[in-house]
Amino acid sequence: MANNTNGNILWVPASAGMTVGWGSGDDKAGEFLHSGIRESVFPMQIYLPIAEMSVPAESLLFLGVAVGFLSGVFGVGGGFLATPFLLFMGIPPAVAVGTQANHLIATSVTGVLGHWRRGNVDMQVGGIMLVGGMGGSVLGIFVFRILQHFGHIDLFISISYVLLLGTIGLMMLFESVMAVLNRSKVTEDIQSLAQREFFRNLPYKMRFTKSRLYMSALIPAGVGFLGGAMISILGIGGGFVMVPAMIYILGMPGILVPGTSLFQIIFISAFSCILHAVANGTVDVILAIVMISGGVVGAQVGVRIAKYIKGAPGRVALALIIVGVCFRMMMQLFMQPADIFSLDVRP
Amino acid sequence: MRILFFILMLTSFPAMAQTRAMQLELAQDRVDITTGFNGTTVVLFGTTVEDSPDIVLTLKGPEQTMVVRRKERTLGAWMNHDAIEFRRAPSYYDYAATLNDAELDSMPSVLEAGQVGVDHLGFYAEDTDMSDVAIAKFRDALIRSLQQKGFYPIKAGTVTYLSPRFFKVSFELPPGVPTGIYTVEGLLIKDNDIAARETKTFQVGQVGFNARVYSFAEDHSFFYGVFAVMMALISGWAAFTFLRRD
Repeated sequence: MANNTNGNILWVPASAGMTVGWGSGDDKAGEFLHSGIRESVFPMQIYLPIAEMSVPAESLLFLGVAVGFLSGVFGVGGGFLATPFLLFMGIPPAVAVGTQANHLIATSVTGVLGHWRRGNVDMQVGGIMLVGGMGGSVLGIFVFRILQHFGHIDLFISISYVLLLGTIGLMMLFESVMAVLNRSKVTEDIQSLAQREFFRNLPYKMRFTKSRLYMSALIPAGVGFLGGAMISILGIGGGFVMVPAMIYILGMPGILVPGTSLFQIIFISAFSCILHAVANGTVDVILAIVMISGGVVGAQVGVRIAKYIKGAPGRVALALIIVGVCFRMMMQLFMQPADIFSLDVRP
Repeated sequence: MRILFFILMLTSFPAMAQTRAMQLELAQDRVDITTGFNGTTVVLFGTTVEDSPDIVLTLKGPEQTMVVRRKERTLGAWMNHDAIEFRRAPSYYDYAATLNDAELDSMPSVLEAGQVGVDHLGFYAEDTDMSDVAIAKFRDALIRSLQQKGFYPIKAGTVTYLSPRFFKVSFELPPGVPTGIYTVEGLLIKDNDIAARETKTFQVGQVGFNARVYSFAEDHSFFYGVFAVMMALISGWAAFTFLRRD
């Protein structure tokens, strides 16, 4: 099966290469516009029809595999890794984010099905969250366009990543290092935010039977709203933000959290993907296919490796990766760029 | 009647007989971008009436509005600060000449009129309150940035005479070259002046599967989005079903 997928990936660039030049020969009689594929450092380029640029197929595939590997090992979506690396590869931010929304659907579906089978999805909470999430995506797309027009989208993405990844990464690092050193206390039974005075007074109270919660529907909707905005602006499903939020803000039982988070991410990212396609025209299916295919292969390897990785050291590794990406983003922000001028083409 | 025809012939014939001083022909009138597109070479042939005259050729891609932004350090972070919009900048530009740089520089009027060389391109800054010196810096940045991408030339290409009246020029289009209508202009130079001009156009566009994806996304963006979602759903489901993780 893994071979089959692999074949699929290779099919795209290889067959395309045939049509261009390998048949027509190299500069025979100085002929005409196609004088064949030129030698290049990357033997295989793939042209992305929506981004309207060529990128080395290998690095793209490798990125997909790496992201899939991480999701296999750690059970994270990997969007926080994919979007920055697509940006480093020179893919325009709009296309990177729009396509990531599409990529997220696939990874979330794969992830949610297992939880679904075990009955660990709270559709009620998920449903309310995704209503808020849709609002968040609409706002996100709007904010994205404004920032893009004024040339601050890269800055905004970088700062958001630095803040998000920095906070979560350091917290995780601290927690997991403590766990490895075996000095962590058993998590105290902290009161969730939803049970605090202010939140208890919010209207539209609902009973969530599966999670055994009684709270205002505005709270899960608000958490979903944040998630939707993150998907639309940053191209991350934000599992690593949503999961703690659902535990600490909503007070959901831990076992229901990952499934429910993935469940609503599917719908919000699908919604965001269609919005990106309609409003900005920045969803590149070719890019998405390569990323998804690579992800499937990577996830298979990752899942097998995951068996040999213990919980706490695994979390240390993930935390280090998160902090690493954060640091890379921070360097970009604070180091003097090679060229202080940059060029944008107005559509 | 016959006399009339004869007179007509006589008067019109000289005009017909007068061949153009220079003629250009492109090998093909379009460049196809397929999924494996990795750049290509555009080859151009031309003939002249006289023996090996001085020729300059320019190739321009579709004009675009481009924004050049300058970063400044704010609170330690580098962020875009001021920007200038340039109108009608060719998205791709290259030129070739039989003359060397010094010879070209000796006839500024020709360079200006024919937009020969990156410093003589006809794009202009949108209204801005910046000084001319500052605008020139932004302009240089635009050119530098496109040179790095391989869309603007570092120096002039060469024109090869295959025979005294027959020449060949080739231009390199890098991968990721902008799509649209490209214009080749040939200038015949005589006595530091343009003696004849000749233009040809060709199209750079996506073809086949790529073109279909692109036009589907343009024309039916909603259904394209739905299609993309369906594709992702199915591949996500397939990955779970056929490749069980447990």
